[in-house]
Amino acid sequence: MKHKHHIGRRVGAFSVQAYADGRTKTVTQQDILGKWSLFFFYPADFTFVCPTELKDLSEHYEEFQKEGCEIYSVSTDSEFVHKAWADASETIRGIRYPMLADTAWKLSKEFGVLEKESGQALRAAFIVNPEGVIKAYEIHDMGIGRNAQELLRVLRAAKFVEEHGDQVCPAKWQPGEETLMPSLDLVGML
Amino acid sequence: MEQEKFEKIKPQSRLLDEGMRAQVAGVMEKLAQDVWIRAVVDLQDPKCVEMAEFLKAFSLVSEKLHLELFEPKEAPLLEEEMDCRELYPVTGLYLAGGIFSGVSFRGIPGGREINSFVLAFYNVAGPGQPLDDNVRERILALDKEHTMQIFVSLACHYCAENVILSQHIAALNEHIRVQMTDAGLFPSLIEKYALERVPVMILDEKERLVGGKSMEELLDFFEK
Repeated sequence: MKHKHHIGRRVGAFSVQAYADGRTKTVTQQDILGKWSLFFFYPADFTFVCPTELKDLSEHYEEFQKEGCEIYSVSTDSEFVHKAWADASETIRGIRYPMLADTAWKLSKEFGVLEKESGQALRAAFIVNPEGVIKAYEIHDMGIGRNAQELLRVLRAAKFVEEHGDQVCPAKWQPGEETLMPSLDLVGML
Repeated sequence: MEQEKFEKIKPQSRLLDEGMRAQVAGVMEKLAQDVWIRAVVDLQDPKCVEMAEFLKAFSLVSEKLHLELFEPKEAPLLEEEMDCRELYPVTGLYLAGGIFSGVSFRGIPGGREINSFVLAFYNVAGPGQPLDDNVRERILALDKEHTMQIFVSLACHYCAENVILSQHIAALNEHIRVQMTDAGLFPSLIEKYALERVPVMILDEKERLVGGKSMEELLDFFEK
């Protein structure tokens, strides 16, 4: 990998199978262009923390969709294992976003989250803009879960900056607080 | 005008220490003409009293500055001109003959906004900040009436820069009015305009621009 971090890096070409809504299909790099994407890596199907996270994400799926963002969960399991998991678990059966089958480790390597010894992906989430460029991400060690609400906040912030630029200040309105002491600096302005 | 009721307002402000007064005086002595500061303040509101005290102290810095204070609804035409909306304090800069400069401030220009407040006098009364000829031409070519509100936070660097640039446009073009609003003082406006970040520029109650912008970008916004 050329970069020490992933921000600003374009997601390379890929083509993987996916399980979505009871069916299998192919998802490629072309599918992520033109809208925002959340790549949500997790170690393996049929584990305990994963369904909790995937359910949390599923419960916020509509909000992500309203923001023009598709969610892709990714593990190194095949699409058939995803289906088996959905058949076995009511929670997983309720998921509407595509569950990508990264059996060849293409995406896990592309995003730099593959643990080679186990052949599993770390718990990681990547927010990718409509040009296929990574704008935000978090990578956790195996046991540390993520928060869909926080990912939604980051997505909205990324969209805001994309639309308006980064020259803004966060607003923490506190009516009635003391007027800020002035700071006059007119050097070079007259 | 009944200035007697404002006599109890003392020319004092922790925002204007000796060093600040000297800096402000240095700018005001350059002014090419006198400026009348007209402000509407509700004496029942501590923030308005703070602003009135600040303005009294500020106006004493130079003989070129003249202060006139009004109570709410005392001067309806003035309030309309300065787009008061019954939300005080509001302060406008005027030239001789009662000519409104188009520049006004809702709230107290503390923090970074002291820069926009001081430079507003310099740009309204002259000599004014230097401008490229093509920028000046674009400003003077604006021929439609526009009112811009700029919502700021006093600690926001980008906000003050936008206020300075936009009010410079207003100072040079009689069709343009630009008002700084310290959003933190007016929760009703935060709610009305769904403000989450600053600066936010609202043009004619319709168009919205967010974030720090260059003079060219602001002119693009006015010209749209």
